[in-house]
Amino acid sequence: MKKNILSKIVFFMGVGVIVLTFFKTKADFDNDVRMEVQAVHTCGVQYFNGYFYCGGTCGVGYNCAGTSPACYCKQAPTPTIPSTCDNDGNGICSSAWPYQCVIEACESCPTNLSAPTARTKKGYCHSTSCTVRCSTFSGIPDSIHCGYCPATNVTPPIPTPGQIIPVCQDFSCSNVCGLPCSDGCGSIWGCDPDGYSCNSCGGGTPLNPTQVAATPTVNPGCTPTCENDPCRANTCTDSICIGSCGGNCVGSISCYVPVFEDFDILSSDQVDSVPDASNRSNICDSWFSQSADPRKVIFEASITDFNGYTDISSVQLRWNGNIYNMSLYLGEDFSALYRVTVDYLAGDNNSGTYPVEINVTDSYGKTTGWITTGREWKVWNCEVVVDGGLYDGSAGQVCNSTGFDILVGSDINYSSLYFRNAVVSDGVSMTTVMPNSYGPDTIIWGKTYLPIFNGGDVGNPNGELVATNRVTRIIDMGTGAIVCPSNSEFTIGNSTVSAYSAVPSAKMDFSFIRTQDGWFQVVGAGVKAKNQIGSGVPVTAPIAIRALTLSKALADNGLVSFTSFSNINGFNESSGYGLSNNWWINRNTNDSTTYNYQYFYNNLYVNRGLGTTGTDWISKPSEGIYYVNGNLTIDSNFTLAAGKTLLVVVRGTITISDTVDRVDGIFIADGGIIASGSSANQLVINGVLYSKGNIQLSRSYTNKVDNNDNSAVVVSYQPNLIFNLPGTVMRVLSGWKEE
Amino acid sequence: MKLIKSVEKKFRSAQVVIVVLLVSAVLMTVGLSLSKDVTTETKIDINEESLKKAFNAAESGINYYLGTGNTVYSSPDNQSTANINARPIEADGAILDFGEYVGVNDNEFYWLVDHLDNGDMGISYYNSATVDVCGTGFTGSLEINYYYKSGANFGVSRFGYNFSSDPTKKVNGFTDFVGDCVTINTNNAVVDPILITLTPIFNGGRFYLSGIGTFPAQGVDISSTGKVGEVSSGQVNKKLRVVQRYKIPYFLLMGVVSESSILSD
Repeated sequence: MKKNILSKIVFFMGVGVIVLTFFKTKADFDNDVRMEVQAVHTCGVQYFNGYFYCGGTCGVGYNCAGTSPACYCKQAPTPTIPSTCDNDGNGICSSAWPYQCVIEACESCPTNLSAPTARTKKGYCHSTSCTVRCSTFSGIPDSIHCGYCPATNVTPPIPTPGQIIPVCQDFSCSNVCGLPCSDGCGSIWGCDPDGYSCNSCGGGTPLNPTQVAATPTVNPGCTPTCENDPCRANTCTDSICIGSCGGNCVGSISCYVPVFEDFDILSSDQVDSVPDASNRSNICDSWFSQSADPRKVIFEASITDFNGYTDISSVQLRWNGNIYNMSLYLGEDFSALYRVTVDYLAGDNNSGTYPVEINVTDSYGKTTGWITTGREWKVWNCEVVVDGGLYDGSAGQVCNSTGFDILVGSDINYSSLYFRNAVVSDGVSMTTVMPNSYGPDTIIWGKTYLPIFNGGDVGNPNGELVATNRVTRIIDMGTGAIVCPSNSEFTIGNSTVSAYSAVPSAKMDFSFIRTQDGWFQVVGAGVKAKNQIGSGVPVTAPIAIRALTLSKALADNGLVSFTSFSNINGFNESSGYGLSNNWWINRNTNDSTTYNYQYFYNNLYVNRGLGTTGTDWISKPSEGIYYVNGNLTIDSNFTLAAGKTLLVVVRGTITISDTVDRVDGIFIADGGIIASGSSANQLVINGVLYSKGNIQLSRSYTNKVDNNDNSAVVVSYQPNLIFNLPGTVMRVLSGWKEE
Repeated sequence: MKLIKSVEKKFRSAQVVIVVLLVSAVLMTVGLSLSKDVTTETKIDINEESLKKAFNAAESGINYYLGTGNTVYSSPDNQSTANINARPIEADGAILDFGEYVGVNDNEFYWLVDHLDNGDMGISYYNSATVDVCGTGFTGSLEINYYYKSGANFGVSRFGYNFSSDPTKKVNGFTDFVGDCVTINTNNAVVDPILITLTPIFNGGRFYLSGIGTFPAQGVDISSTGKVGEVSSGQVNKKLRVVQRYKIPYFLLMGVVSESSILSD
């Protein structure tokens, strides 16, 4: 029985499993069918306006994606945006073509602008087929669509009593709508209320000048109760004013004395001149000299009369004893401009600078008397006498004395000096005084000159002068002031030579650095001489290499020792011994042991069989030790192979020809080592030089100007050459002792 | 009377004999004396010759050792020999001290790499990051060059120290230093240390290196004992000692050196 029950249970469980398996299988099958159905779509390559792209439908929840021609349906991401915004089906709102942005609004203007500023805009962007915002923007200046925000933080100038504020006096207004208007007062007055429209912009004519009446300091007028008093009429009186209003009006209307307000000196082109710091002007100032009529000058006085400008009856100007009557040029209300034009002749020239005075009288006889305008004026011939010298600044140049002590010698080949002006006829050929001076000659105040030496030109103002680094010093002989213009070209003006000296004159000196003589440099080691070191490191060398010894990769520079030191190019700064180690001592530090040809010949050649002998450079070995029992001339380049070394031992003198640019090795000579002559190329000696005699490294560049920047001879220390020597060379017996 | 005369005659003859005997004795004494001196001088000449031979044998023994490496030398005539003892010059623990005075401007060389038998440099380097260069009560200035090998190239770092507070005993630009030892960074993790050279300026001095690395042998201390004759018949010995080290002509430490002047014109 139990067995039957168990069988039934097993049977039904099996049936259940089968049924479940069926439905599970069915469900999976149904899913597959659904996917296939969903895969039925129109997604594919489509064409629009010259472009191929993936387009079409994929059914709900899928987008047509990919890049033409590889198009496919891709399950859509969480649909945060309408599918129509997603041109490429990547689930991100399109931001590339087709794409466009919309200006939603122009933003409000700030209230604290000191100048008109482009107004900002805000808006959003969307794809062409989607009006939903893909992105937004704001704060983007766009004067084209939004125009300008007005300046609101502008403080109008505070008028002084009697001042006429020239509204749009110097008005300049763009015809382009939206650009700000401005006037000479820095405001936007005269423009439309919005401050940036130009509808009512005018021209240069003053618009509605605002008058600010002067505040009388005495008896400013009747009390209000006397406002209708007859004496407030157009005439003034000095008498007591009794008001008709019956009150005790004790006010009075004075007959005002005309007031001198301002004074200007204008060129014939009516351009106002600016005086110097001492309120002086002269007829050679550029405003006059560069005007259409340089000798014609307009004097202009501004006068105020609170009885009305028409009360003014006479304005006179006095200068250097000459009195000129001025004429009314412009008048309105209480103010007037009076002018007089003076055409100076040669006979009017004068060495003095004289004050300009003015005298104003009104119709009531009120007068200022002769009062100063505060201005001084000089009329002269503009000629400045100059002379000067050429100095040797090879040892250093610092304005205004260093480098101007020693006149150059004839070796710089000074031959001519021409003060060039842009106008050829204004150029001046100076009188040369050989070998190092010029002048006196005359140049014109106010003009700009470029001194050109030895037939040079603008591009090469030193010409064939054998010198560089010109520094100009101008001494005003009238005032004693000294200036050094920063450029070779300079203007003879107030900053260089005062026009107000009785006889304007100047000493114009030029300091040069002589083209340097050839010099040598040691890289990666030190220099030791038992007696003298004659360096040649010039002041013209770049600071980074301006030293006798230099460090390099894998080799620091070392000690410079000597008994005496000099520099043929004059640079004797103590900083010039070494970079980065500036080590030096004026003391012999040579070892007490000296070496010579015989030492090496006996110890290495005779005793150890090292090296070969020969008589000339061409016979040298490619490596090893080479003995020359005489003199040796190195007349060709030699480059050692890597890992090799060459020790050249010479009983006489080693001479390195100027045709040689590179030679590698350790060079020992009893009779001295010489590298002289000139070459267009630098001589590089990779190794060591040692001699019992003098070592003379005087080689120069063919173009000596090249010596200014670079050494003509470089000895580049090579530790490799030492340790590539045979080990036995270094083996030394010492300390023989008998026990 | 005859007897008297006979006695007198005999007495006179005896006197003669006595005189003759005395003269003879004196002569013999002088002669024997002279004979002894000649014998002594002969013996001295023989000893000096032997010493010379022993000296020469010792010297030749050193040269023989240097040439062949053999430690037993025999003269061509086989009358003298030399025994050679070669001892490497090594540091005493952490101190490498040659125990010698270095004169002013002279140079001392401390190798930080070993040398092979043929004199070439080996590949065993001092193996510590620093080494101290020390002076014993030194009061001058010291120029130090540290040579190293970086890859296939050699390089040199240079140092200068003023040990004195006396401004007249200072090299311009050298670093003022108080103490006995300055530390040199060998940077041995990056480069191979090769050599340290010292040049005392203003004063000479005694110097040594101190470091926790292993200093290689600096050379060989060679002693040679020359021998002449047999032990049984009075052998003559002579001992010579010499040091073989590795040094570089000082000018090779600099770029340009003149025992006179170096000029640009």
